[in-house]
Amino acid sequence: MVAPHDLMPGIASVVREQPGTVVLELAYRDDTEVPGLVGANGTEVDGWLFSDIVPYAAALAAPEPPAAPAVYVEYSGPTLAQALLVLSRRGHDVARLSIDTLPADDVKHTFGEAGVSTDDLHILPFSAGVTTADIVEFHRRRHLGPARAEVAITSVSAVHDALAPEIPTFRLAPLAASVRIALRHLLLTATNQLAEDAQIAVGLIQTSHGDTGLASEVSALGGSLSTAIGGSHLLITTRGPLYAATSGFTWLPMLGRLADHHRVVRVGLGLGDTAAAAETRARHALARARVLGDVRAVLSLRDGTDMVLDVPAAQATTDTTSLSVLARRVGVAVSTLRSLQALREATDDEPIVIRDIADHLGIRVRAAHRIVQRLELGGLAERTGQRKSAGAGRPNTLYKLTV
Amino acid sequence: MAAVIGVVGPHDVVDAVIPYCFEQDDVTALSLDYADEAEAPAIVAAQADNVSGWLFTGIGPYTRAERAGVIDRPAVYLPYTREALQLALVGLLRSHQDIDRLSIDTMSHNAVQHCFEHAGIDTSHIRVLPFRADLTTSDYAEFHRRAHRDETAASHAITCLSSVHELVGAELPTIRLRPTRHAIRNTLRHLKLSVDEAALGHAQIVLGLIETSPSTSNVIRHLTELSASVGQRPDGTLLIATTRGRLAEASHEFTELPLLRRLAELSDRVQVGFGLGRTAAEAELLARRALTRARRAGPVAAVLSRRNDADVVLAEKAPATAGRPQTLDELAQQTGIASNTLSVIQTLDGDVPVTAMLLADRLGLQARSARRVLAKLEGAGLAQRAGEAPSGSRGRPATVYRIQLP
Repeated sequence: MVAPHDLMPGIASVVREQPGTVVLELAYRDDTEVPGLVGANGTEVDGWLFSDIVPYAAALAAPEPPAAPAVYVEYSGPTLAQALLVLSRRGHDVARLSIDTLPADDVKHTFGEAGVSTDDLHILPFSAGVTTADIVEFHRRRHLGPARAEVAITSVSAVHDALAPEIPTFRLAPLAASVRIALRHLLLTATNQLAEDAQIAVGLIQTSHGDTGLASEVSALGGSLSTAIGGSHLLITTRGPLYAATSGFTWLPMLGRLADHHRVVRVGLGLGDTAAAAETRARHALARARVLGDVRAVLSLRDGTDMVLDVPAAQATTDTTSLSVLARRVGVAVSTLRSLQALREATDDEPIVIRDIADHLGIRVRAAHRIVQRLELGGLAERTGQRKSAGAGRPNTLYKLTV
Repeated sequence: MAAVIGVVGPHDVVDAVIPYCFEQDDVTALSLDYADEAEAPAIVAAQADNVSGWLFTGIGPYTRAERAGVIDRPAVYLPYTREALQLALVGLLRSHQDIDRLSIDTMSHNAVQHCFEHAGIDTSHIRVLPFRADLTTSDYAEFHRRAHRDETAASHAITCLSSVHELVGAELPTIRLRPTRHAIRNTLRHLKLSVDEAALGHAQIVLGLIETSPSTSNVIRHLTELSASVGQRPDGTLLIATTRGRLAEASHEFTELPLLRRLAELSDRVQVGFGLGRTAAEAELLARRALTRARRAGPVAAVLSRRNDADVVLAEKAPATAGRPQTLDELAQQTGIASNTLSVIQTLDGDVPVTAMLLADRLGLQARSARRVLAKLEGAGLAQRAGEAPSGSRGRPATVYRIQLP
């Protein structure tokens, strides 16, 4: 949760009502702090809730925008209606207001629903370049002259502090009802992101020299390999690892690696609501790959769009899936994944054995075994060979981490 | 993902809502208006195949459809939010009317209370008749009339129902609340996300491994209801890739697997292991574990394994015993709930509405664990959602379950 200091306790108490939710409070005094807060905590969170559009926009414009789903609390519903009721009750003419940050269209609509004219209403909608000083100036000018506004409504605490000594000022603070609406959307969006990650994907692969090199490619995708009716290799995988391995459905590096072993490699990939639908798309994609040439891959999406996937020019592909999604995919803590990233960097991507991981994480070898097994199933570690152990025992399996 | 929303309500509100549906990405809408709220269940039953989610214009038609048991996909109703009431009160204040003597229908006491208290308005002369499924239009109309006659002497009737407005509008100063644009948009956004959630959850990967004695080509023909993709393993095992939604349908929400009986007619040994995972590799590992258990369970057996969850034996439905397992041990095996937990649940009075909190209390569990138990019972068809209980405080209303153990 990202909110100014003064709003944090109120919003956090609403979010804490939600069972199963852990709240990380990231309070700021000035919205220029927001990108830093988001960047520093990006790997910890499953979803971002911003107190309003100001910090939300600041986060999205940051060099490292949030990878997890993000929403902000909208003030144009119950929160604005509440303000109008309170001001009317105090005897103010709510037709003569100056309002900042809220979308002009929403405000006007809300006034229309209350049957209040918008002719004498002054609105300064949110815009990225606008400073606190600009907003203060906007309100000041609307409070001069014959048709002047009676009350300034602001969403920005600094604006409230600057104006309050001069003119009647009302600070909008989100009602619990508005926070709950935003939270509900955030939770559903985050759930959907996880569900999308685990959605079925089917691949049909034709090769000229049997299954040479296939097993390691399949394991990198957290996939399952068998033989389809008709003789092609049948790859069953899920959308998340496939999305990552293809850099967002654009490149297919495994095509180049398989072409080192095979004269012919044709890959047809399909997504669908059912396995049969995904396989039908994969067959269609394979047929298209066959027309295109000997070393070709085509992906057919749920909506029927076909995409030709080429071998990337440069080998660098980065997985943009957030660590929180990866952590839930494989079933280990985000902090463990982060440690493993550090280990990978420290060992320069050289193959490692289970004991290296146990030492690095400070856990028993048995526990490290379990973690590595999960990483393997999630397509985040692959076996690359064996190394004779120092003593008489079994040789140690070598792993390459791809976290 | 494309979604078709069925909008059910009186024609004026339906017409107001439809344009907002088309604002959303990938959403189209079906306008399903009625002259009388009682038609709602029939409309829902007739149109279910044409829509991916339901939007009811109010709690009334929603409750009718819900009680008729015809809702089988995501459904929401437009809440008569505080905000519509707040704006109506602003309107009254601006025309110099009193707002401390009112009669209000449909909205909850809580919602009304919050709205007035936050604005510092005394509620001692505010009369509220919250929604109840058994109340009719004339009950609501009578409530408003009485509030005007009795010592409250309400100055205005505020109603959420067009039928009530028509009845009392000529006699009393009446304001009809309509859902605000903000409420309509947010409800639609929520519904779209729920529809997506259902579709995505349905497409989650399931892998199955089948071991059967003679030929496998016959087996494949019997797997159509799983919409599966089938592969052959070098060891002769059949690999079937399917999805959570299809398996849930074919197994009556993971309780029994009728197709097993058809497979048993082809071969005297059919053992199936299903795994539900977050990746194909995990699903395969779980399927292997399930297959090992199926081998132990008998010559014709299917088992489903999930991460962090008990295995479920999808026993074939034996025609003679009319379905469900009878003993607690069988139930425990089927649901993955310990039999001593089940025996405590069995002692609960069948008429008491069961919520997660109540169950947590009786079982000495955390609410979260109690929710898991309820979910397992629901998954096994032994508990149904029966409605919502007001939660006393501000939070969400608690879901009420009806539990039927043999």
